[in-house]
Amino acid sequence: MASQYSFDSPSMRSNSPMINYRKDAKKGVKFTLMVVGESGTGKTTFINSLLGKKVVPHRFEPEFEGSGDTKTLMFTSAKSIALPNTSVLTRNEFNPSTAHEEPGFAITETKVEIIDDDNTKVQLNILDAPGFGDNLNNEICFVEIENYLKQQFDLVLAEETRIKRNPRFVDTRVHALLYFVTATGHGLREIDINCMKRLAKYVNIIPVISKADSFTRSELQTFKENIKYDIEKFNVPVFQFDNALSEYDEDEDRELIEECKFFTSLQPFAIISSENEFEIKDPTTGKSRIIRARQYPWGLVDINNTAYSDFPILRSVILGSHLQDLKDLTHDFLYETYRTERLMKVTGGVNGPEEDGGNYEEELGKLSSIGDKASSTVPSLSNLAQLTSSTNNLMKRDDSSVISATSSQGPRSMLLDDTDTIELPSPKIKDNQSLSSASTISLEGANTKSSNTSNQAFKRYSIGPQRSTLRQISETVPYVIRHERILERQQKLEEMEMKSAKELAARAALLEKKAAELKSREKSLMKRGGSENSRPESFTSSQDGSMADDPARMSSIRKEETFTDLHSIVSKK
Amino acid sequence: MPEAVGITNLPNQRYKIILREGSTFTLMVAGESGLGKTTFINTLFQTTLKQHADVNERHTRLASTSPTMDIDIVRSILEEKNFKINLNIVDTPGFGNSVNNHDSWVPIVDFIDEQHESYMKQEQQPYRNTKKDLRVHACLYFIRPTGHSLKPLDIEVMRRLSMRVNLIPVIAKADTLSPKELDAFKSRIRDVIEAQEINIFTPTLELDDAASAEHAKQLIESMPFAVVGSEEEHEVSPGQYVKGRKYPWGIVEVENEKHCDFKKLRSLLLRTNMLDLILSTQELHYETFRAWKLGGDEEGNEGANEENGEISKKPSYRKTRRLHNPKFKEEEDALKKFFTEQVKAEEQRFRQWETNIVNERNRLNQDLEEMQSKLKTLEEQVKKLQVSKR
Repeated sequence: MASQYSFDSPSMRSNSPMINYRKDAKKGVKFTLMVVGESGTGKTTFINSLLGKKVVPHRFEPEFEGSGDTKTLMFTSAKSIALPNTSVLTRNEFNPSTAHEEPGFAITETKVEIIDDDNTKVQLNILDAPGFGDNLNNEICFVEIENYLKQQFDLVLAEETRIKRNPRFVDTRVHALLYFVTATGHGLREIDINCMKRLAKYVNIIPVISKADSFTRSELQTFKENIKYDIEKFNVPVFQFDNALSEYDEDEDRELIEECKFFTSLQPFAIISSENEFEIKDPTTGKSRIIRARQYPWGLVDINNTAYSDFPILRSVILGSHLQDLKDLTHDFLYETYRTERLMKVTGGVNGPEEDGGNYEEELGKLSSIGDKASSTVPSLSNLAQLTSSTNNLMKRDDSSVISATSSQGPRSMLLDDTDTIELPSPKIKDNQSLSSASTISLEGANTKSSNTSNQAFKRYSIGPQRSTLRQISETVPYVIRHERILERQQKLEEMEMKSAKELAARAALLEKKAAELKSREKSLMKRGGSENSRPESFTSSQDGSMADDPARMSSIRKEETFTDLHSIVSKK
Repeated sequence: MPEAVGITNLPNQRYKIILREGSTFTLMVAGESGLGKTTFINTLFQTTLKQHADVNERHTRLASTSPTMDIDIVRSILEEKNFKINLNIVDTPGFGNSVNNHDSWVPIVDFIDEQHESYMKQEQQPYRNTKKDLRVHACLYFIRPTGHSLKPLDIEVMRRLSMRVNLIPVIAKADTLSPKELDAFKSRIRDVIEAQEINIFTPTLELDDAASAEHAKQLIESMPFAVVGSEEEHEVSPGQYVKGRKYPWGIVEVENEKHCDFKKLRSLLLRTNMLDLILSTQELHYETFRAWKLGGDEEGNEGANEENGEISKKPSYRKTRRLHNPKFKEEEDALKKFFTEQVKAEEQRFRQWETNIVNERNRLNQDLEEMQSKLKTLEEQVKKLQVSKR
């Protein structure tokens, strides 16, 4: 089976028809791959062996010639004050004396272009997440990844709904995420499950067992089974190769079905990767060939040997046979679900993705309930969400109150709509808020009134208003999203500021304490010195002391202003 | 030549006593799960001392809201050539498994301190013939073979352990690192250990005995030990079986010094330095604990310092054992937060409800008024009509 794959070509993309008939074959296919996993699970080595050349530097490895341009997209430190350029993650230097500091978490991007035999280009964006699992508290890691993935979706969503589109817009959505499971031999751990569960909403997750050379065959078998069992038991939504099987024609695509079944049986892929090449001689033919392998005192591990490494299969899956599938799935399913959810949220409902079609009544019933919910939704969305929902209510009221006049109603509600949408994008959000909240309250009564009669009324509800609401949504979405993001960022900054302020205060207190200590020590030293030294010096020091004491006493007297003290002073005189 | 008095026989008498009494040895294995701790123990003593964790049990542990760490003790008596040794193996399953590993070392550290304390209390009893001694003589800390360096968690734990026991760092599953990688990894770990002032156990160099000094030197040089464990035996050459791991590309022999440092570690633990380990526990670690404990309050606030991240170089023990695991505290906070949030949400809902009701009432009142006014007008109309009829 190993002979089927050629070793000199960087990948097996040439045998995938999917790309060839794609229009953008000339432009080159863009593919974003993210690797996530605890440090030391072999992510870097995997990438380098995937591309057949050294692209990403290892941890603690100095920069080398010919490395792809790696840039850091974001950085979060575990502690508040640390700057990105002080962290191990970006400096990449080995420093034993700071090894105990938590490295924080970053996402880095490396752009590589690989050209296949038949001149199809693949622009590969590789996102790495160094620092994952390195901190004491690793919760920030998957929160940050989730935020990043969400942000990319938001960017696309904002771009999609914009009236004027940016011609140079770059789609940065992540198409596939390879999750490197730490080779424990037991099963998934808490962090694995939590992380995969959280991220599965935004990306196709392919779990991968790296360093498969630490397992004997039976151990690997049980480990795989345990992971599969865990995935099922904890409902971890990983990428399934066989979920599209029903779409294929059984007679025509038998091969494809077989292939998918084969992949499913292999999952999770157990891979071995290496950056070193060795020349070995075939004992039968005497020819020597170069293989990628790992050398141990007890043997040579060929990473392309499918008998024990799924590396070549994984490579053909992500760069060949399933590249387009992964992209399509990201766009058609994950992004679409996200979009629906997001838009529903913008309209104020917390309902999940909704089926379009006949249940119009039901939808309207929901809409009427939105009015009630809207005022209690989360504050971040409140401004615009309330407004949109209130406009919905407005329209409804109009329709329900004047049922008999149908023909004249349409344009009126449209008009009403338009005036509101014009108002929406205006930056005076605060004004809007007061306005909207006021309107919702005033609407409350009308709403309850109308809901009783609504069922009858809405049967005759025309399609016009709905379309206008959709238009309205599409116009507001970019603003809502931007607004939300700004709010989020502001919150984050505030949090950081708070933290750093706290830390600074703590430090200041510590310094003060130390200063006080030093002072007291100095005093005691002075005293001791004074008693030991000769008279005149002691005199001055004692004088100093009395001088220092005097104002204090004076002030205390002045403060208290008691007559008795004055009396005593007078009597002494 | 006069006959010897017999003083030279004293070592022999001592030998007999020890032979009769046997000895106690407590070994602790710490490190993240999945590093082969259990396998290593079984390989070391060549028997199945510890059962591997049940897979199903692991699931219940994961499914519960907070997978907690516990201490697991296996007691056994080993006998070799009529000499008995009471062996206690302390395991720490679940260590480092959670997402948030802050304070995950507390149970381990507490366990060690507790043993010291209970031993001290037993010593102070009037009758102290039968002492239960579970003081940890050696602690093997398993390091994940990442090939990078030590993780912050490793450093935190090792630093705390090294103040209390004889710490021996071990690179687990060394068969995933090629010799070159292993060398780089080892030297980085040594650098970190030195820079972070972690005191690991080193065998004493006896200068008068060249052979043992040479051996000790070898041991020191190969720290941290890279080990491979296996419970299975495989045939290397016809008729010759060795313990090892069989891969499609070769067999890793556990007892082959070229493959790993297992033999050296075994020699350190059992053959040459076991007494060293036991004695240094008694003389160094127990004594520091005792001195501190009986010494009183002058170091009382060291524990507080430690919490602030300032770790003093002197061994510091918390004055009183913390009553609560910080994990529980965290959980409690989270629960409290959740509760208040719930209450808030409910309140909000009730308020909403109330306004709704008020609005409804107003509306009904209005309706009523309207009705009444209508009624009035109707009545008036009726009156008018009646008047006009007349």
